[in-house]
Amino acid sequence: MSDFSEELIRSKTEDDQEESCVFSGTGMYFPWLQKHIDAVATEGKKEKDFAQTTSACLGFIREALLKHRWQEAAGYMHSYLQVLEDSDSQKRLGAPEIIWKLGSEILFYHPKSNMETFNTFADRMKNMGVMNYLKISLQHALYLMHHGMLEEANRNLSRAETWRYGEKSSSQEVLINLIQAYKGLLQYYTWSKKKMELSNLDKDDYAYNTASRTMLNHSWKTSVNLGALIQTPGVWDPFVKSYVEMLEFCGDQDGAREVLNNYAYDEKFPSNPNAHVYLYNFLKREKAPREKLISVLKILYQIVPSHKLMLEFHRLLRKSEKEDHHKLGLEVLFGVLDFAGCTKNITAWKYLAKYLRQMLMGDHLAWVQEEWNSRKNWWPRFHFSSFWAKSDWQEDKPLACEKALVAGMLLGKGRGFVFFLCRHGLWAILRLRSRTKRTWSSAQGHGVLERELVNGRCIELRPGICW
Amino acid sequence: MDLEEAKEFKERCTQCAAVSWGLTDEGKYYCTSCHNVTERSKEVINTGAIPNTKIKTINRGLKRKKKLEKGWDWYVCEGFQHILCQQAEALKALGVGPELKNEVLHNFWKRYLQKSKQAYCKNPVYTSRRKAAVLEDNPSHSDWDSEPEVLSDVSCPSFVESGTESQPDGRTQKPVPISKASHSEMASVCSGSLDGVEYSLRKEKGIVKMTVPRTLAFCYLSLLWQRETVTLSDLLRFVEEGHIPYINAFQHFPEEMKLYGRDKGIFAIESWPTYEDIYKTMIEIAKFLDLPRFPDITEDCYLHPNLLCMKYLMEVNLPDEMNDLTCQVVKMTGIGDVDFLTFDPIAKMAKTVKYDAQAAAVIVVVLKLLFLLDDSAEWSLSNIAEKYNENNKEDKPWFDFRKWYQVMKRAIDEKKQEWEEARAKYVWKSEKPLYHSSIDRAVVYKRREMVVDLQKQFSTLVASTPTVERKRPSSFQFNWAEGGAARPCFHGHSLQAVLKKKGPSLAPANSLYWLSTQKFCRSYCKHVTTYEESNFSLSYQFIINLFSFLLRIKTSSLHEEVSLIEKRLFKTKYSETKKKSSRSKKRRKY
Repeated sequence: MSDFSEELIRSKTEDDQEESCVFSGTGMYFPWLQKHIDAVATEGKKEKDFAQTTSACLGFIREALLKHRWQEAAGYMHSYLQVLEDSDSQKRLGAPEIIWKLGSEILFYHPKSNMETFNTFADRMKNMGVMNYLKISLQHALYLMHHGMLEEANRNLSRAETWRYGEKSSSQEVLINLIQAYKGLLQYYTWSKKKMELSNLDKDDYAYNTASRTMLNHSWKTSVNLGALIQTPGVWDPFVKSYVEMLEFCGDQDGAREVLNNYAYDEKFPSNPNAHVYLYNFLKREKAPREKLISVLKILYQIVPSHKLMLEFHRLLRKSEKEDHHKLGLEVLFGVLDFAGCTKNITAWKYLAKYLRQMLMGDHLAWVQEEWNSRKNWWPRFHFSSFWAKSDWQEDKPLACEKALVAGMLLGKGRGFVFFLCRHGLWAILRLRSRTKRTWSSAQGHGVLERELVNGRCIELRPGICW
Repeated sequence: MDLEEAKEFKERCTQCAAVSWGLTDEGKYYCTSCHNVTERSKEVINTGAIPNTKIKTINRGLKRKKKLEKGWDWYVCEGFQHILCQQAEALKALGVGPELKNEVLHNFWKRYLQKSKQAYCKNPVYTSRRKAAVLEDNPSHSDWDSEPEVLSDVSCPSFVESGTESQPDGRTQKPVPISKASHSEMASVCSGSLDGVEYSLRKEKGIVKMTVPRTLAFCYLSLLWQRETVTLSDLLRFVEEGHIPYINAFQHFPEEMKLYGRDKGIFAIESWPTYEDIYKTMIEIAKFLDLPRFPDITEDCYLHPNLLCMKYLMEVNLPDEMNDLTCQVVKMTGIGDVDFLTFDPIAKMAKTVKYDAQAAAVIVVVLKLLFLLDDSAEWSLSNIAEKYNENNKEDKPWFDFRKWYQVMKRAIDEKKQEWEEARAKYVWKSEKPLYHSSIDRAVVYKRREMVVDLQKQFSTLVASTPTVERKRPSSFQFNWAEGGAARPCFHGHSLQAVLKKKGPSLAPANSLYWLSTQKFCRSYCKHVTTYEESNFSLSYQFIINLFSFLLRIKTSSLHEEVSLIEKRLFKTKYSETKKKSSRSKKRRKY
């Protein structure tokens, strides 16, 4: 009948939901391994049982939090608080932060907790160690914002902003900037609400003038708050966005441009695609020359070749007079379609079909070849397999058509994609869409398509590109 | 506090690197973010330039310091005496005979004080040195001479005679005893007790210094002397369950006995007592006290293996019938002899028996005899029993090892879980926080207050079910009598499936046996064998784990006990092994 190890596994999984068990890579089960590891870890240095209590407690809290058992977590928290009295100063100093994180999590979700308890907890934790004051204040404010108490959050941030204790260390300076910026963000929020109201007012109305004046005032105050943070390297997308919006509203175009340029091009800042997107959008609003727009997007293309602005980039390049821009336009399109997320982007395929034809007719076979060489090993399976042909045909017929056109140009007839579609009558659609004036012979099936493709558009392709 | 004045100190804090200094009442700099106190103190260059506030703070500081250190004059050994007293009271409340406290423990303690030259001798260790100094300093304190008398009353230590007169305004300032002053200058250490600093520095050869864990060794010695029905593992379990004061025992000191500074290191405990430690200390103390041979442990004593085996059989839900076999093993191995069992500290090789561990080991050996525990024999035997039980529902059921395993596994896992949770929730810190020095005091108290505040907040969020009410003390951890369907009781089951008639008596049907230890260590490494869990069958591991958890001892030490019993039981086999050095793991029994 059953043997022991079976017994063991069965009873084990029955009563303690495989918490302490260890699975090896092969899926085998070693119930004893975990214990063994524990024994090894504690050997040598003898830990005090007090330390064991606190670390076990931490483990239990973590588990309870993961399982959303807030009451249980609160129970362990009660005992974990002892760590604040640990004689090991290393642990004692690290404790307030852990307690704050775990405690705020518990209080955030606990059914019996309310705003008041959270506030008292936060106030207590703020005053526990000087180093934590700002961090906790900021998170407290975020909690309040989350609960829609913007006024209260603003008051909190103001209090934190003016708070000084001895010499602030460098890490705290960033925090103060951040606090100011969040305050600025809150002000931006009220400002943009007012802006909405303003847009509803009649321009000739008396109220309009006063309202716009207060708004100007307001935005000036806010920009002071936001400005400091934006100077320090980092990723500050929401702040930059709102700052620029307000600067533009005040008519300070140069200021906005400077901020965006700085945000996008300063080398101290981490590489951030959004910085370039913001700059591009700003320049577009400003109706900047095409050359400038292209140069911005070129950088974005290097960071994120699959960005949704890339199609716009392609359009710009296509319209450009420069030869190398045309070449880049082709690269960009191929680049976009390299990404799995863009495979169903019909616009991209449409552009590619159109542009390929243009290229081939415009005697730029070498460009196409260059792009295709690196992709010919995987694109057929990636884009043009018969599986895709089938599913595209079922889900999105126009997409299938565009892809078939591209595939036809790149691969020729008789290969998976075109072959499949030809059989399913795509053919008629192709004929309709075909811009060539030729008459199609209806009797000859896909042979006609072949001839059509070969004769009409792909004739130069055959020797070099098709395989 | 005095942040203004601390501004000119610009160094970074060594602990948290912040530059945010305050001045302590003594004029030292402390970090306001992490409360680290530096050795540097504010230099006072020109007395004329000191602002008024400064003078005020100094005055205030001195006054507060006075108030702090005032309390009774007491010695460290008096603190231990107090703890022992409480422990004896607690034992009495648990049902131990009243003689234990007044006759046995008291005598042991007196003997200890005498042997360690702290009292009851011609030249007590500190009075000689201190008397002169103190008398010189403070003529009003004349009770130093009567120190031994103060100590003589164990049951209610009277500290009241020592200086408690209050000095509200500090006009007639009591000079600090010289020795203490010199110490505090030397290392800026202090203590609430009179000899805390000296005590912690004291390192004399041949003297067993008192520590908090050693109070438990004293308790156990007196229990053993009285042949009470408490084993060492029981005692430690009672400590763990809070029935006997141990951790934070100093909390119950009289209000006037102030503890701080070095006392913290002496009285604050942050670990549970371990069986092995207390056991070793107990022998050490018995030898140090030069105790005579303890009262004999005869067959009618609780600590005799026959009785203890019976108790543990009940505890782990094994059939009563197994008791015959355990008695037989006890007899064959000779571990039931009075001479073997009785503790004799003055014998050449003072050693005693781990009564509880040994009894558990006997049961393990019997289980091995009956079921072999090789991960196969026990299951096939279970199949036989299971079939029999199915067919004969009316009869006395046969013991089914598999069923027992399932029941025990679940029960022990639950217990373990409970135990782990209780350990994780244990509150270590006392309501009366201990601090190192007066500078520390405010910080420590503030921290305490904060923790209490936060705890109060979180305790309102705990599930409304009251936290498991304190367990009533019991020498049993399981109760199988009222188990119900989920926890059936196996006490009445018969062992027919595993026994067969052999001549006049019954013998195990299983004729194989394997030894837990093939070869004993003979080197100087002090242990006789090692326990590498993965080398053993899973059922053996389970049983060893079961007992070691119940007794709160290490699995390796239980394994060692099992091996030692086997060594006695299979003496002939071991001598053969030596000759033949055979390697076969399984061997025929006899």
